[in-house]
Amino acid sequence: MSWTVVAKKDFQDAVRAKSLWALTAIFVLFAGGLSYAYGATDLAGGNSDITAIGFIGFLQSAGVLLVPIIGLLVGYKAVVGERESGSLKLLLGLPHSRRNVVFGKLVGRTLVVAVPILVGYLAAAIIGIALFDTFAFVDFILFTLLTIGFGLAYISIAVGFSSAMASQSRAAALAIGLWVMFQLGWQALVILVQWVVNGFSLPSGQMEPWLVLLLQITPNGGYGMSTFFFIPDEAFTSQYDAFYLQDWFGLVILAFWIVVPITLGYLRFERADL
Amino acid sequence: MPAIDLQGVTKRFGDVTALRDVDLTVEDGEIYGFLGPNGAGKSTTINILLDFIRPTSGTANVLGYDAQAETVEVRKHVGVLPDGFDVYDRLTGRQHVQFAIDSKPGADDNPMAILERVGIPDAADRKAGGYSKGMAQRLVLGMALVGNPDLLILDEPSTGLDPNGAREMREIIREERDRGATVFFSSHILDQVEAVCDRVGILRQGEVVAEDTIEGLREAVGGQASLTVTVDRVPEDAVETVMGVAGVSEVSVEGTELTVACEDSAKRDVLDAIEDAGAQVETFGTERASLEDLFMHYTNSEVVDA
Repeated sequence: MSWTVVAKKDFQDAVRAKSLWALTAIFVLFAGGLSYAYGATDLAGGNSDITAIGFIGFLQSAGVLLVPIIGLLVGYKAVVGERESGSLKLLLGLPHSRRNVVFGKLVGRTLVVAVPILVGYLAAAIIGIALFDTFAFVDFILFTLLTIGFGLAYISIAVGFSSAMASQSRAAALAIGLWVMFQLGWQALVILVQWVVNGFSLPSGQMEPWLVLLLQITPNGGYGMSTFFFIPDEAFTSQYDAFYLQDWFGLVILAFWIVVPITLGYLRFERADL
Repeated sequence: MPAIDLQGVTKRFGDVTALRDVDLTVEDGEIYGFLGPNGAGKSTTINILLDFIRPTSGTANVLGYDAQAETVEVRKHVGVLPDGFDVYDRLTGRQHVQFAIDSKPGADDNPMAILERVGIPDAADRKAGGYSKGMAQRLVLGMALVGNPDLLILDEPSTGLDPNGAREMREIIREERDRGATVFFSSHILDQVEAVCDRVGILRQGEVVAEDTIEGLREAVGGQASLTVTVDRVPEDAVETVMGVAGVSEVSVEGTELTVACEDSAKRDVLDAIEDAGAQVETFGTERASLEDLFMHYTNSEVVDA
């Protein structure tokens, strides 16, 4: 399997470059630190029990800040970096198709993010078991896997850009632009849309369902919705009837972001003159 | 079945035509030298064979596989030393060769044996990021040899090599041919090609301008001579007069010296024509045209064909 050779080398490169260890340290400090903070202080609020479910919500909202940056950083050079330096010619001089190069890179880079998430969240779980009143281990495992899926969506976006672009700086600019849009500007953008379709004034009352979908359609939104799907908690249940606003639809949104960017990037790469 | 078969390949990059209607056939088991000055389109041709770029029109077959549609099959049976590559800085030489072995189905080479063959066993466990250009060239040649490929495609293989390294490269090329492989390599230096090739193709400005055996090319220039004549003064119509002599292809004047490219048999007539024009011939000398002259003739666009 040619893509496994590419993925293995890509992962080993991250080990050699020590970036795997750096990322693992980051995630251990991040998740372990939050777990300690959540267990040792009164972040859960008042007299309520300190539980893994509460912590998952806490870790989820913090992870939305960290995971996308890591995913984009790990992924954006994957293909275009080799294209610019010329090592891609060695890679494609061997019996690897362009599809296997892109797919192998996606898998390799995903592992580079998945291993640190696993180790970091395991550290969080160990601390949580020691400090929390209760710890729902299965829920936490599901949440960890979901977080890896969230990372995969951003890696798919980054490797997609990396495959589609001929220069590293363009791939980086697109990755940064997308991050800013999804992380900082999305809500404002949706409100702007709402304002425009409502005849240049903001409506009162509940948002239209399709606007809520628009709000949730980013990987971040999909990650949030599917977290609630796996870890049901009354407080998070959707107030809308539309099927696309039920928590399970978050998985569809995430799947979209995992499959589509890398596919589009690959299709452009496949047609490119290198 | 030819090892390489290009039919009417044209490649345009925007307004620039890099290759124009190129037909090229490399027979199974031969060493084929692909000659041309820098920028003639040699790398473009090779990149099409490897499917790094796609032809605008025409077809490219490698070992009977369509270079565009059956790329992976081509790469399974071909060893490649590309142009403008970079090694993986953090991988050692041995890891590079091992990666090639892992990538090629059925390859079971010993990485050290390969590195010894290309002359860098001492650098096997050093990171390739610290290799010189010549060492990187040897390393990638080593990767190309993995799995005993049916065809070696080498783009300017002597780049960065000292004369000794270039000689070792030629030895490996011969060994590979003797093993039964076909070798296709490009160069802008005639000497390298002349020393090792069974057949050459000359590319100029995206067009194949000559394709023959070295012997055939020698024969083509065999009857040609270069005649240098020093006169007391050069009459105004001297160039025209000499050009009028049958068998003369080129005349140039520098000071009181005329250089005439002509058929061997036309030398006497040329000297007579110069004297008839009113000049006194003081000395003259002749040289047989070399393959180098022919190469220059084919590749130097300034030369005006007679």
